[in-house]
Amino acid sequence: MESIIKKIEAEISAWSPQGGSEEVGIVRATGDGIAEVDGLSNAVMSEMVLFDPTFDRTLAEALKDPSPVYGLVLNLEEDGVRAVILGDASKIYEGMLVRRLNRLLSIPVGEPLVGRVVNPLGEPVDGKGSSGATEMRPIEREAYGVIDRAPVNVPLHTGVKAIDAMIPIGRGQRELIIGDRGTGKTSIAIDTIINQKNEPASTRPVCIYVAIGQKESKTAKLVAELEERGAMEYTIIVTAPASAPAALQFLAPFAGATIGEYFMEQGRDALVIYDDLSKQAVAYRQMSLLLRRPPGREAYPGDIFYLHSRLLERAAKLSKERGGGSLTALPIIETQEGDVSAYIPTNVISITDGQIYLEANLFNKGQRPAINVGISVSRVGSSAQTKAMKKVAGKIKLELAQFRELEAFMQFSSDLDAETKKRIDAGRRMTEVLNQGRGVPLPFHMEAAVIFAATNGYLDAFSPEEVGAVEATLQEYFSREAPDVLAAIGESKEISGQLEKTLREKLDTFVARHGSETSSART
Amino acid sequence: MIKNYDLFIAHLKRTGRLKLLPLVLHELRSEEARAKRLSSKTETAAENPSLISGWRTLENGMLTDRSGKSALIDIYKKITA
Repeated sequence: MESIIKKIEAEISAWSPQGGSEEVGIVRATGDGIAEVDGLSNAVMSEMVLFDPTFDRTLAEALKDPSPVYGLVLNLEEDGVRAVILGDASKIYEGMLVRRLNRLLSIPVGEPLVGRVVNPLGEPVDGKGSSGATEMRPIEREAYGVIDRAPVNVPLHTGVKAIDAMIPIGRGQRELIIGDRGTGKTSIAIDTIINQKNEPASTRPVCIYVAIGQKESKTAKLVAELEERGAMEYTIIVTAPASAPAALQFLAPFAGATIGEYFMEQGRDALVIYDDLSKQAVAYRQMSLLLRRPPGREAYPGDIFYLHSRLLERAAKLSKERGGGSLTALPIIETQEGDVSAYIPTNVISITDGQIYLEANLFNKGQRPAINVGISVSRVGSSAQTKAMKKVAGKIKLELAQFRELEAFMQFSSDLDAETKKRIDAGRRMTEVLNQGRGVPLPFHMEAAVIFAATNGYLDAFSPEEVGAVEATLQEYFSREAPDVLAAIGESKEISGQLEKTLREKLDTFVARHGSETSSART
Repeated sequence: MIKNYDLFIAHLKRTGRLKLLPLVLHELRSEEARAKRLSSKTETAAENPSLISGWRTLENGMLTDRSGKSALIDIYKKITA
């Protein structure tokens, strides 16, 4: 009670009578989440407006409905504006008063948001009360220019062996995850968030997961998983579920970028995952058509490319003068029947610094993650790769490429010459090593040690079918008998000199011990 | 606004643009409706004189509040949010 009285006192003392008049508009028509407003001739693009139901109503009636409905001005017309309704559109009626708020759409940002689930307006939706974040930032802003940026040179480890070895991601990079539905796109993103737990707290990025047009049950499951794995302590979820208005689904990625930029500007690293931009594009198409903007290819508006480019361009690695922070973006795109040449996929492929392509065929064959290494690429990540990973992973892409060429002959294995058979077996072994289940991201030092073993022939003593089980045993062996070696790899980020010698000795012991075990089991 | 409709229709006939008449009427109706919506309105806040009093008026797209009703509602919303 006392706190309420204090709040009232504070508000009253802060209030000052504002003389003069304010510009208002009147709702002319409303429907499909769009309001046509007469007046507001001085309103600007992306300005927030408030739909005010208090005019012509008694005070008691006006106070009955305390939740305000905001709108966003998106079309400036000759005799009025069109605004998208950011809330319950059923509360808007013809003749309703619309007040300008004299500010661009802004959301609260800051440390208090960490660990919270918020909507694209920054309002918490996790039932834990107000976030307490007070700093407001406009949701749209221009990306940093060339002078303010530095080259991407620090790795962001995903904990997924195939990615960290062959398609490395750097902090400040934009790497697209693309594939059909149900091929494991979200799993890679979630594993990446969970894996940040393995990073030292000082360099651990703040993770922002933006769920666009998803089922609320899926988001709830994801939050529960992140909480269980202790990952929510450095994660923020921005959610615009499938039931949210198209405007909120369109705004969600921009809200995620705005929150991420706050941390980047504090000199910290941030990772933002947009899951997924196909649904955002669909929401934007819906809004644009309702705003009567002319449709273009696949009925998307003409500025659909700019929508994604201006969003993804906000990912950056800042220069030292700007604090050296970074914002890494992992946009996700869902393809239909593996068609990467559709409008939105080609747009986003051309904007990003590389793509991880997931294939339904590989997924059905049991490959996890189902990455098609042939057409997946990271354009800037290799310069951010650690020396250890560069050294161990150098040969993998080549070996797998050779394997893919020979793969078709696998069914004639009895008629193959020894050299071809050897290459096929090496490829199968490598594929097995890179196989990795969902929710088990590996720390960098373990990835490097395992891939070192695979590329240096230590697993050649085992048949390709055994490699999966052997790898699990190898990981246990490393954790039990070589923790100092792992720690040294993690610290120096290099495998050379004495460290390499010790690692080889440990691997020789492992092969001597387990190679004989498995070969005796085989006989 | 059109002052002499007969003259206006004669002009349309003469210039061969009589087909535009329904559209012109539609525009005129919406203009009229718009003018009506934006016409001046006044409300007096006298329901609870100990809490608020005064008036609010809406004219030419400008809202003038001399009642403190908006401020009171804003404070209430901030406190209850």
